[in-house]
Amino acid sequence: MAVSIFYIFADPMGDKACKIGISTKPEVRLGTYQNSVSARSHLACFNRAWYGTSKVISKLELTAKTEFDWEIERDGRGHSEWVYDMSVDDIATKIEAIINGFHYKVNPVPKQFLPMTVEKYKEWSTTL
Amino acid sequence: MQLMTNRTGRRALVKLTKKQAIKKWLGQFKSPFDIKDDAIDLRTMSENYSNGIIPLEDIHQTVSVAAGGALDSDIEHDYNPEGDKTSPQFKYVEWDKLFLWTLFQRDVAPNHILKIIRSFLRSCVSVPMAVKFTIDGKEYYCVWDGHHTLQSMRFKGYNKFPIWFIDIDDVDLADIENAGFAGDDQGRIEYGVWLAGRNMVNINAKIKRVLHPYDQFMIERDTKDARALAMTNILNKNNCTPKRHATMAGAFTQIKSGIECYELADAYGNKGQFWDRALNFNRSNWPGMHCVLEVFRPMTYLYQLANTQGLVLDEHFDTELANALIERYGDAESAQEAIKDSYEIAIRDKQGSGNLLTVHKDQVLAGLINIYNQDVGRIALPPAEYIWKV
Repeated sequence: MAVSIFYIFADPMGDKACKIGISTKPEVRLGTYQNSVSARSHLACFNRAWYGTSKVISKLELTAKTEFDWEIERDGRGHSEWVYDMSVDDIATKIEAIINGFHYKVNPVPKQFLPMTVEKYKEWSTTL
Repeated sequence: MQLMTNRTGRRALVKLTKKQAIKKWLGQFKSPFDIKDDAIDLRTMSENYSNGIIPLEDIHQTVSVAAGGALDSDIEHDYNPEGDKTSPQFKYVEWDKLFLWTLFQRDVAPNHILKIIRSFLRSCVSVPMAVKFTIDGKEYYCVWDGHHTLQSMRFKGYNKFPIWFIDIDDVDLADIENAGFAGDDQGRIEYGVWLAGRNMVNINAKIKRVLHPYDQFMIERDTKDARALAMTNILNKNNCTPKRHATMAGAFTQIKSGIECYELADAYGNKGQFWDRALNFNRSNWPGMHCVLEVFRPMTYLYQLANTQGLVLDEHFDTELANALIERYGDAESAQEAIKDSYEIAIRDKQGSGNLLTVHKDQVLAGLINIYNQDVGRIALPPAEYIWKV
């Protein structure tokens, strides 16, 4: 099954900020994030993720960006997905509320595959 | 520019981004309000003032923040238009001094004048604008905006006419020459024609901002228009909020379609009840969502159709249909999109029968009836205009 994912990951440098985004090829996306740091410094991963069709994942992203309007302090390439002053748990709670309130047909990636690294992604994708 | 502390604790000069500046600006208000490029939500902003009246300066500052520096190169200071020959002056003018020069005016529309006259109020006259020339010793006030208003005023018995005008006779020669015209009498007239034409196009085409249906609805509501008040009561009852953008749960943005749905009446002429139930259907089953046009509108028509045909859609019907939609598609937008896609495929593959439906509302309405019949089928619904396996 071809799926897209909506993901959250915390700022690897330790600031209270998280990136939210979507991807149809999570392993490629994780590889891109890994490019600029060594795995000894930081292993690229998604702290939380939900999956569904591309259409509904795009809708979830749009709704999330509307919800986090003022917490996304910068616009433009590389900036417009960073949510400031919120933890992964804060954001995940809001995302769950959105999913329930909208009845989006998406599912959370099970906890045993989180944080989702490239290896965990490969493991999880065999279960779909 | 503002001093901010960075992560290493050092103080640095950091220019706030536009969004950061807006967020900081909003921080001083008890009731935060939407600030978008196309609209600042002044009704919510007004809740920050004890009597609801907002100083223009506060709106000005908000616009400055919203512009994010884009206005900086356009800002000027300390201009007093009184006595400036390039700014309009006010005067009541006699009818025989008013003229129209077709070089910078459009044709006149009798039906538009009739429209103005039918709703004419002396307290509601925008002051027409003109340029004044003196040609062969005779004064001409040539109108470049408000001609239809002036004709209406004439029909309403006015014997003096309010005019904002630029006195072309008074404009300095240097200004005329700087605009590219000759410094003689002919150049002065050509300058006046050019000025009036440019202003006419600017005001009527380039910078005209048509009243948005949302603004019209809110003004009608706040000035006690009966239909707007009745619609507001129904919206409030269903925890819906009229909004320009669908940025919150219960946001109702489709004002024109809302009016269309509200106007659908039962056999006794009672309006609003079908729309009321359709909004409740939308809000109670997708509580986090805005009101979705192609859900509440076809549902309004479905309730009316059933009522007309003497079919009772009992209290369980809404839950049954909503559960079927949620089970199949999840959110309400996905549901209406999937129904329309399914209809297109059925037509393409000739998998259904009935009348072709060209309007989205009708496609979704037929789809909803088909889905209920296919997934639930407990009670009889009005027949679908087009039957296919959704």
